[in-house]
Amino acid sequence: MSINSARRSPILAALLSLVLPGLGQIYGGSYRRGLTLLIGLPVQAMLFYGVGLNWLLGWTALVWAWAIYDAARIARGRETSAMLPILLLLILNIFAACSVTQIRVPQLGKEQRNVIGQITQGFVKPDVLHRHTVETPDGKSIVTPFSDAARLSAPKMLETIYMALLGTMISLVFAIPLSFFGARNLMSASPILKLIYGLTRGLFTILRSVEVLIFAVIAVAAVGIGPFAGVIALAIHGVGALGKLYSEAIESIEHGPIEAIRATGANEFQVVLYGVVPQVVPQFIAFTLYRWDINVRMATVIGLVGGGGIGYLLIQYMNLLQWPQAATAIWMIAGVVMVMDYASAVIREKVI
Amino acid sequence: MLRIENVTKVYPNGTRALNGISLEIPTGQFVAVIGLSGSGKSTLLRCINRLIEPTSGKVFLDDVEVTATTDLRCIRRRIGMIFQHFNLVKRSTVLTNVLSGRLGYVGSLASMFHSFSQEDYADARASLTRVGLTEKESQRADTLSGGQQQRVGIARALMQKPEVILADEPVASLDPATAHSVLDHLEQMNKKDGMTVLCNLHFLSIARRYADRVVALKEGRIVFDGAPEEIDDAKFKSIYGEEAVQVEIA
Repeated sequence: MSINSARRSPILAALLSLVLPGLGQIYGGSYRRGLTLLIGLPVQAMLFYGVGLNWLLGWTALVWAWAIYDAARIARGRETSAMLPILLLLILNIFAACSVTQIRVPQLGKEQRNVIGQITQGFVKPDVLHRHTVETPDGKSIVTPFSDAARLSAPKMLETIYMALLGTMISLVFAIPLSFFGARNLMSASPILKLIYGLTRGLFTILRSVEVLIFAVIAVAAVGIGPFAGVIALAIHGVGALGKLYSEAIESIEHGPIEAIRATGANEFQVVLYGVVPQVVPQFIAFTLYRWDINVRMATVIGLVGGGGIGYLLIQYMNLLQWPQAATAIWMIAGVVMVMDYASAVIREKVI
Repeated sequence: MLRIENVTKVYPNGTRALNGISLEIPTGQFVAVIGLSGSGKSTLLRCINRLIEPTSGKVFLDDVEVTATTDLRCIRRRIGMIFQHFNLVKRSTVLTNVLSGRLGYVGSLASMFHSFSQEDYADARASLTRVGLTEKESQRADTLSGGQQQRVGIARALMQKPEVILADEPVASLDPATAHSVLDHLEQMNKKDGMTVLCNLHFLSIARRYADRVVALKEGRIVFDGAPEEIDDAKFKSIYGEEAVQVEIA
């Protein structure tokens, strides 16, 4: 904050901020605060007006009043904390957010209470164990301790894990070679290399910014409902996500060893092989495991739009309001995610 | 014979690191390059094996013009290099680091499958024995101490069977005792194997102890070139500035 030693007139400063909040601050030499008020206050007012909450505008005027007081103080060469107006604006915006999102204490009628009760009961007592007789494909009858929901969910869960694995592996095959082109430190020698770097990073960003669900809907349209569509969606999105992480791992390596390998007369391929690769392998392994872990969770959601796996089964149970059966699938997902989370954390710690 | 003719390097940001350097270094000489940080010592060394491309000027190794050659690989493997921060691949084993000194001789495909010849392995072990690290070959490079890492760096350079050694502040990151053991190796390579050594050094006392010849740089120009004993107080001040005081490193 630059406050000039020459005193300004406090009355003029206050008047200026009365005309336009922030003007008095600029007059007093606090340019940043002045500009923030000058631009910020009208923008804030427009936001409240835009969502139809005109009653909040009056409260915003309190900040205007503060700006007048602050301008006078700045002109006298003093400083004021901006804490109070910031706090006030935060509270007003939370009010606005509550109003826009229609948040309220839900009014539960008998019917709603009934549904919530059923769901809760399903979760507390998922349909896992149910001793009954089933017929095997070759016509024999056997007794099983597991319910139909558990017997259907388990193979679908495995399908989801394998979907995630294959999706990760396919993205890895494309992301590893691409990531070297997306590493600034390897691609800065000439303008053409810089262009390739830019294009590669652009591709990663595009692939990463489109949600997996959107790829899944497109893939389902292209190849039909089933796990294959899910794999395609995970693979495409994963190229962008893994490519960016790999490239950043390459960018963070030490340059010294590369220089040393180059000085021995090694060609560029050998420089990458002996100078770059040993430095990035642990991070590549860690990022790949992390991606697999994420993909298992994403594969579940993909199932909801027809991408196969346990998600597809789950949405069917939910549509039929079979809560204990749905709970079986959800508990199974939670268990697998927990185990994978833990396992990948342990392995990551080991390799780095 | 290493010949540097009027080499100039201007970096893209406009810094003139080297300003018309000319040097003739007979085979087998131990040359210490001294000067303040930023005087252009590192740039000069890197212009010789073209890790940095000179803006203008020529470098000759025997009859080959290094600055014009299309076979840089062939030139670089004749020139070994040692670095201040050792520049080992930390996660690779000591043996792999030493073997990588042979990359200038090995084809891409062979190096992809890590297939070095029996002689290369024998040479690598002999080099490690020479620098006193026989037992360390299967350890990761970053488990060694600084002095040991620099000796691995020397072993890596030895693998090239080089005619010239470029040493860029090889002892600046080491304690005085370790520094001498590293420099003794360089001296041995110079005296016993007849390698030409170009060594950047911060301390004049070390240059006096090891070098046949001292070249001093200041702001990218040569301000002194002669025998170490010729540097008196006046010359010292002209190299390092009026404020400088000579310090002895044991």
